[in-house]
Order: sequence, then C-alpha cells, then structure tokens
Amino acid sequence: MNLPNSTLGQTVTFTTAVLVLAVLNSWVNPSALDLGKDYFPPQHDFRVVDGQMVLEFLPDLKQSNFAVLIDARSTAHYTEGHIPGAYQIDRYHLEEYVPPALPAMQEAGYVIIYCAGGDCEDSIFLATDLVYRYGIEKEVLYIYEGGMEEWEGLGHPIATGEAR
Amino acid sequence: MRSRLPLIIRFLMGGVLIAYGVEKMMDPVSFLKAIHEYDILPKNPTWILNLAPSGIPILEIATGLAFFTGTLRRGAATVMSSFLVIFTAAILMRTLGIMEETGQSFMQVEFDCGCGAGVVVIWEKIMFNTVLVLGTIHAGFRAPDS
Repeated sequence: MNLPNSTLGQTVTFTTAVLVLAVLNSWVNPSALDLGKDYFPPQHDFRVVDGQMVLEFLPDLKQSNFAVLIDARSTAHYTEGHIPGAYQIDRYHLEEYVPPALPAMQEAGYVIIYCAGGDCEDSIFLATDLVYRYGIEKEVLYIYEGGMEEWEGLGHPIATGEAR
Repeated sequence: MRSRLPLIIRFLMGGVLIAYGVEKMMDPVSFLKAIHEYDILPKNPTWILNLAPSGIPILEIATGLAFFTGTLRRGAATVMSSFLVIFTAAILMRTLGIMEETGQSFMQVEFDCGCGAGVVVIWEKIMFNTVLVLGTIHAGFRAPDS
C-alpha cells in the first residue's frame, strides 16, 4: 500500500486511522465507555444522610431490605474497603451491576448511596440514573455525602472483598 | 560520525507517548472525569465527550508507534503537537480559573490534569508539555529515518 508522502496527506491519513481505531476500541473493548450514554446528567436535589444515620441503619442492612446501601465506586475501590452490607454499583457499567441490587432497591424504604466523598459526584449521578432508567422512586433515595472518606475518618467498621 | 542523539530523542518520544496512552487506556473512567472537568467538549451529542477517553490514548499510542517505525511520522507529529498545544492551552485556562476562584498564585496551583499522573503542580506540567511539543516536532520532522 502506498502511503502519502506529503505532510498534509500523512496528517489526513493518520487522523482518519486514529478515529477509526478509537471507534473500534469503543465497540470492542469491554472496559471502554458507552458512546451513547450521558455520564453527566443534570443533578437533582436528593435528600442527604450523615455517617451516624448510616451507622444506625447497619443492623437493618443485614436483616431485611428496609434499607439498602449502595457503593457507587469502582470494583477496585469497593474490594479495598466498603461499608459493611453495601451493594456495589459501578455507575459506569450499570447494565452489569444494577440487576443484582434492583429487587432490594425496589422493596426498600431507604436506598442510601455513597461514593468516595469529597468532590466525588458518582453517588448523585447514580441516583439520577436509578430514577430515570430504573424507575426507583426519588423519595426513597438518599445520598451519604461524606462517603467513604468520612466513614473511614470516623473509624466506623469497614468490610473488604468482592461484591455481595 | 553522525550524532545518534536525534534518533534517541525520536525513540524516547515514542516510548513516552506509548506509556501515556496505555496508562490512560487502562482507566477510561478517571480520564473521562478529568476531561469533563475542563468543560471544553460539548455534552451533547454524548459521543463527542465519550469518544475522547478512547481516542486520545489511541492517538498517543499510534504516534508513539509512528515514531518507532517511521510510518506516517510527519502526519503523526502534526496531529500530536497540535493536540498538545490545544490541551496545554486548556490546562492554562483551567489554571487561570482556579487562580481567580481560590486566590492562589500561578506557582501554587495543583490539580489532576488528566495526564495520567494524578494531581500535579501545574507550572511544572506546562513546562513539561512544552518540552513534549518540541520533542514531538523534532521526532516527526527533524530526526533521521534510521
């Protein structure tokens, strides 16, 4: 195959090749992002809970679906340490993570979502997805804004290992 | 004897770009968040923003391979250096925004620029990117074929 010799010809050829490979990567690579999905939807004013309230919910998490706790971080972070009893839903791969937790969320009176804390907004984005894509009622959704950072700082119990 | 330095720079640039590309490709989510923070790409249609975490690592890896093999070397250098200039300008714009918001001096500003190295001191990053632009142009246009 004859490749162009001029700089302009090379630039056009190279740009085209990169774009084609980028689209292919999005389709073929399982860890790539979904091109059609809005990962940053408008935020909502969900109700918030603090660390003490989450702590009080812990016994309920083990016994019933009265309250469900959702960790919106990645598998690596969840495995490293999460609030005991929390489901994991990586908000960038909803199709894979939502189904195991969906029945519990549909029955629960409180669905509390957290992520890393600090500037992390994954919990809010996940809550929005749960309302609009999975029909979870907004009234049952709560955000633990302090997230894992605050939880660890308070010295509350932490579980490690794979998703429940 | 002809100096081997230009050829070494070319291969060094190739290696650096491939390493950056692979690092970003391993964690597209973090890279997407970093790009989103710049607020320079439109959110609609979504594919424009979402394609960046796939496209930019491939651009870096492909440029690195072009520097190693010599294939489409000038085209790769043109695209990569243009991208680096735009990206560095975006870093500068965000830095000015942070300075205005926080009252920090230029030398104090630090943030995760999405460059694959986490939180960095921005003036150092801008200096490094300037070196990368010059290195890319050199590797694409000045270095010998072999």
